[in-house]
Amino acid sequence: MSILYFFLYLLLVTIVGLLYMGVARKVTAHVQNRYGPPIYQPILDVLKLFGKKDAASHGVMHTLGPVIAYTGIGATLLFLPLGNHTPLLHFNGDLFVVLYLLVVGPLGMALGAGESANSNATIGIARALSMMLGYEIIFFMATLPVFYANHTASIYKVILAQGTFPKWAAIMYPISFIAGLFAVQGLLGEKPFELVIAPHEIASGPMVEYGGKFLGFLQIWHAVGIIVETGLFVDIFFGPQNILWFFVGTFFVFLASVLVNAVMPRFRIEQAVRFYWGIPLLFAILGILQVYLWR
Amino acid sequence: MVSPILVIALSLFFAFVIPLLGMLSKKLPRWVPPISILVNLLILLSNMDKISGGAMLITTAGIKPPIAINLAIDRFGFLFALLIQTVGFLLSIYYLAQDTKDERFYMLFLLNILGASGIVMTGDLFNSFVFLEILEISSFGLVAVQKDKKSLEGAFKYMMIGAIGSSLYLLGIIVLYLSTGSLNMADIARLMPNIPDSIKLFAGLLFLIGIGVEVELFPLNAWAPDAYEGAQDSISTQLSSIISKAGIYLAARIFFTIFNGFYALEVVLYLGIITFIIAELAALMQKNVKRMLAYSSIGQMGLLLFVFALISKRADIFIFTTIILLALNHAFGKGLLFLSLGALTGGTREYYIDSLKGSGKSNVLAGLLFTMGAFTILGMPFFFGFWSKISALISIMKAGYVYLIGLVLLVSLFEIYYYGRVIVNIFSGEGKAQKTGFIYASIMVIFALFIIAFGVWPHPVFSFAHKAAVALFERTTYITSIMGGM
Amino acid sequence: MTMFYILLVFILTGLLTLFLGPIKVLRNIVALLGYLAGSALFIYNIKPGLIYSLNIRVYNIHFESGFSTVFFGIIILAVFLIFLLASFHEENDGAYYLFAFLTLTGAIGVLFAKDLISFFFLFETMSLFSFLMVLKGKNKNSPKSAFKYLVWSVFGGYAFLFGTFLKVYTTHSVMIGDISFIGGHIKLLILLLILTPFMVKAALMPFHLWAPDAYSDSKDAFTVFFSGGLSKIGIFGYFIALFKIFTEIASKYPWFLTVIAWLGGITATLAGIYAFMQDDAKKLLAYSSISQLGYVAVGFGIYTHYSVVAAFFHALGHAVYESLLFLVVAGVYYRVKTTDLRKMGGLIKKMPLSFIGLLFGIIATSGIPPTIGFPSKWLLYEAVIMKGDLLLTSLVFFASITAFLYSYKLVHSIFLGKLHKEHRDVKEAPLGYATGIILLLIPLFVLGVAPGIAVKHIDYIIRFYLKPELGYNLTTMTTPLGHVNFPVVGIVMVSMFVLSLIIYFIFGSTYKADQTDNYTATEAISDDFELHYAGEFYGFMRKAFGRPLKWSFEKLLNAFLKLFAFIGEIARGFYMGDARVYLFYLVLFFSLLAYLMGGKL
Repeated sequence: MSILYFFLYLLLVTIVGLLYMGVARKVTAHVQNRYGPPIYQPILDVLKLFGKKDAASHGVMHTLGPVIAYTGIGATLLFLPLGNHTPLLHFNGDLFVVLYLLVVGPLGMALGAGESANSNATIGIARALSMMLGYEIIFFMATLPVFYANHTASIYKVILAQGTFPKWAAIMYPISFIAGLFAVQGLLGEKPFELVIAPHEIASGPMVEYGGKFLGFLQIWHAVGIIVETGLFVDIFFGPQNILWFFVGTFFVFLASVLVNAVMPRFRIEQAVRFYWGIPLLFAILGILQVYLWR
Repeated sequence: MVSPILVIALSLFFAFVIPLLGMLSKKLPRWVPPISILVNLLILLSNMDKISGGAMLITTAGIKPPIAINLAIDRFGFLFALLIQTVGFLLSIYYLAQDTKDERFYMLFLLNILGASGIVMTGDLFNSFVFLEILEISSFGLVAVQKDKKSLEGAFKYMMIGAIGSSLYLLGIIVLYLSTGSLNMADIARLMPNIPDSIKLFAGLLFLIGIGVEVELFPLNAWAPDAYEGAQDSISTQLSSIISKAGIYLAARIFFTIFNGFYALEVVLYLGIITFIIAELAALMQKNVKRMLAYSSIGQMGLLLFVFALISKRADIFIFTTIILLALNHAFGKGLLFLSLGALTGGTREYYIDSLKGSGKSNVLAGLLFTMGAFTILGMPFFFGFWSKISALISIMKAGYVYLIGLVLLVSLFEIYYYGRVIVNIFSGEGKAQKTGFIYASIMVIFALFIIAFGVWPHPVFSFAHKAAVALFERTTYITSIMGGM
Repeated sequence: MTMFYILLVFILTGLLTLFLGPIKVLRNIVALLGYLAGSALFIYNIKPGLIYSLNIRVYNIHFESGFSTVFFGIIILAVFLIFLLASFHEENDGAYYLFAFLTLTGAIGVLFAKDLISFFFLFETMSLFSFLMVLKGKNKNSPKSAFKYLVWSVFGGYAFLFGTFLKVYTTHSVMIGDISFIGGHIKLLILLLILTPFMVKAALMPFHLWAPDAYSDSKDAFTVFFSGGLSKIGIFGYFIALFKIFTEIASKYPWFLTVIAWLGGITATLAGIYAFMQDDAKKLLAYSSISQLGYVAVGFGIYTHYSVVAAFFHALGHAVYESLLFLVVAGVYYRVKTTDLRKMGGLIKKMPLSFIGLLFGIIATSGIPPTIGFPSKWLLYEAVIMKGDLLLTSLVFFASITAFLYSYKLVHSIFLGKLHKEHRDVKEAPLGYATGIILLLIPLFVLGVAPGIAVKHIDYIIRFYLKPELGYNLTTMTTPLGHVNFPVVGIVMVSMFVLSLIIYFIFGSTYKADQTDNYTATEAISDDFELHYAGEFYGFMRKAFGRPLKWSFEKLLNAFLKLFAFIGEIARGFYMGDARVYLFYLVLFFSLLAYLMGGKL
């Protein structure tokens, strides 16, 4: 029963994630004064990709890469509470489990892309990993005060501990919240931090050698990833929401990110990393000082 | 059961025989030192049981002390005599293989051993001066034997300082003789309380300089690097393993037994540590390995004297045990270093660190032995030096200078640095292929065996050194055993 | 007595290989048998609480075994087995095994030592023979690196010795025992001095300068033991110093612990950054090893039951995955004769087992579940947050991100990417390496899923000193902050993987594409075109870090050394005169003494 439940759960999140991607394309198009594809277009894309015959494989790791990527993000999803909706494995819903599981996906993709022997792919990966030194640490530092103040490392407990509207962490810890917003932009890989994909430079980076069902996997990986990443942010900063409001929250976080993406140019890699070590880091540290002072 | 006086008499005899034999054949003289020293060793060993608590007295012409020449051997002196003869024997074997045209070299060598053994066996102050002169003058000759610029320079400097030192030493004897009317060590020691402090101070000062030259005490040791560097490798071994050890014995005998730790010891305390620090600092950047070893030798002697002088702060037998351990370690360790360095250079007398590059790879045995020598001097575990170093530190702690341990260890770190640099250098790169003669190699191996065997199991050396230390420490026993009841 | 015999067995084995083994096979067999005999003695006879004394005249050797002895002993012996397996394929001679076994003797002996002098003796033995082992080395830089290692380890050893004497002087006891009751601040000095060699061994910054060179320039098989085994002595020393020698450190000098923790964090971070900047596999791993040991220092610095358990467990994990990584690199070196990351690539098809070893090695290094790297990292984070030091938590987190960077660089540059022409006929690493890899993969997963096996033992070690707070059983850990059931994490991952595989197999089919069958923007590539992105992998990060990356402790130290050299030159000047000058010294000295004595004459 719970396995079936889990399938539906995964399917739901995947579809919602794909719809988000569709919205992103639509919104970007409108910002750029275009019409844009329908928002269900990504779903069609994925179906088409999975329906394709003969995807080129460069070896075992290349094949397993997208599979592992989806494994990682799916496993993370299981540990992530969607608002106050009890996650399947909430007793294990610990921030660090989630953070480390979150890495499995990119690692899998990185290994797969690496075996393709295409330098573009590897450069993309190298950039992705370097970027983590920027946004990941900011994200972590931004969320730390919330966990520390509530004396738990469990995401679920943090959600419950926050209370309704004025008691949201976003309002209690506004400095950390701002730092977190900076981090989410990098976490989602949107401009100005779109260095990993960078289609004009490195031909969509890690994805360059992937086609057919592999690309399909990567698409649904990305779709779930959007929900998980924005969801983590919403969970930590916006308190206990029911599942509907949870998706609304994630949608708006994603939308904000997409709007920024639509109007921004792209950083060079060292600029991007340095950017995070500037103002966002300052905010993150101030946020930590704030929680020390409040205590 | 042969009288130890024969050690001196026979050596003298053999030394004089050498030139005569030299007339007969050029090959014969080199066989004399080993035979002579072997006989000496046997004589000494046959007397081993007879030496117990106090000193063993050997009179000449049946006249009892304080008058007349006599030998007074206690366990402390006996240990040094044994050390000197053993190292001397090993070196004499080494000289068998050496190609020396001049038979006078063997005579000087034998006289040198004779002088050193005389110093550690005699009970008479004036005799000790005579032996000291024999030792020094033969050393000058030995250092100069190479006859190149460096060795002559070293010998000359050594002679200048040494001569003045020993004349001051003689002056000290005269002062003591004037105030006590005796030349017998035990007798003077007995009469010491009666001498006015000012005389004691003055005599002490004279002795300090006389012996200070011999034991390489700062600032009287300026000759040492030049002499060590100029001399051939085996002579450098002799300088550090035999000659300076005789000096140590003399220092202990005079400053402790005779002066009973009066004043001069405190000067030695400070000078010892200063010597140690300055010499090690000087070695730090020295590129000439042999000169570096000379500085290291001076440094070790400084440490030894410092530890010895601690007796003035706290009377403890352990301190004496320690100096014996240090002396043994230094004698064998430094001896091994000089010999193996000679083997590494392949007799070219090119001692610069760059010219030694890779020599340890082409001559693995010598390289390993050099490393072992360095390790024992550095006090590494499984080498004899470990025990002597730990004992030295314990002695310093017992005397209450616990923070000085930090200083000593810091300075020892310099040792690691410069020895390590050489070791690394001889094992890196590729060197020219050389070979070491069988005899040369086996002598070095014997040195190394001592270091390793007693490094792994130091028990026998400890007991032996402890007994010798007791003999030195119990001053009154020494005096009464020679002078009879008081 | 058994403790003594174990050491004796190892020493004798070493000597036996030296004298008996002109034939390589014989030598290897003797070494293996001796090792097995010694470890069998250890495993069957060493229980906590054994005591043994041996009188060698002036000194008494005191031996004792505790829980920590068994814990670290097993780690070190296990890593030594891996070293032996790899050694069979190394170029070895009699002295090689002699030095290795004497190093082992020292390392195991240190665990037994009950008094500080014996501890020093055995510790120096270990340092000395590991120095000789590095000196034997594999390339022409080895002697230089060995020298660095020697000076550093002796520096540590001497500091320890000084601390020992200060302790003996103030407490009149040479035993490893409490010094908290000593009045004044001298106890802090003693602690610092005694801790120094362990900080050197565990390569805690700024005492790490020897490590990258010594690790990368020693023989590949030995590096496995060097990094995986010997560094554990440093951890053992942290334990001895902070728990057995200064039991009340937390209440008397809490700031000292904070300093240790921060040093650990800085080490983890900086070494991680240096690691991903390296272009040599062994250098990269050396820095990675240093970085991982930094976490252990953090654990000890936090000084709670949680954090110390994490530190011990991390040390255990470090032994497993760092050995594994070095072993794989050794195997690769055996086949392709280089450790330069720029000259390898695409070996996954040639050496699949090595790839699997390296892959799980880096997964564990990065701390991804369900491997041995995860429980300790998880617990450490919880401990640091509980302590309330959020900046330190962030620093540690930053360090673990660097682990992803260097891990991926390692695995990509060796196994992924383009296969070089000259490596087309490379075979899988030989049996010894393969066995080692398989042996190490077992604890890597077992302890990752069931960390309770080790945590139970660790808890025994430290429960005498710290109030047991961590809740654990075989497969779970609970802290006030959170709870993890490790097998569940593993099972979720496996089932998700199976699900993804099912999806994979349902749809479409694949065909095998050659490496040259690539998207290269219309450029046709041939076999000659070696398109392997490996050198300067994270070159752009140089720009991101900018100038601070060029700062180094080494330059600071060199300036300091120059000062000593200058003083040395002055001292040497004293001995550079001619005879007249020397005579002048003598006269001056005489006059000075006479003048000083003047009052008394």
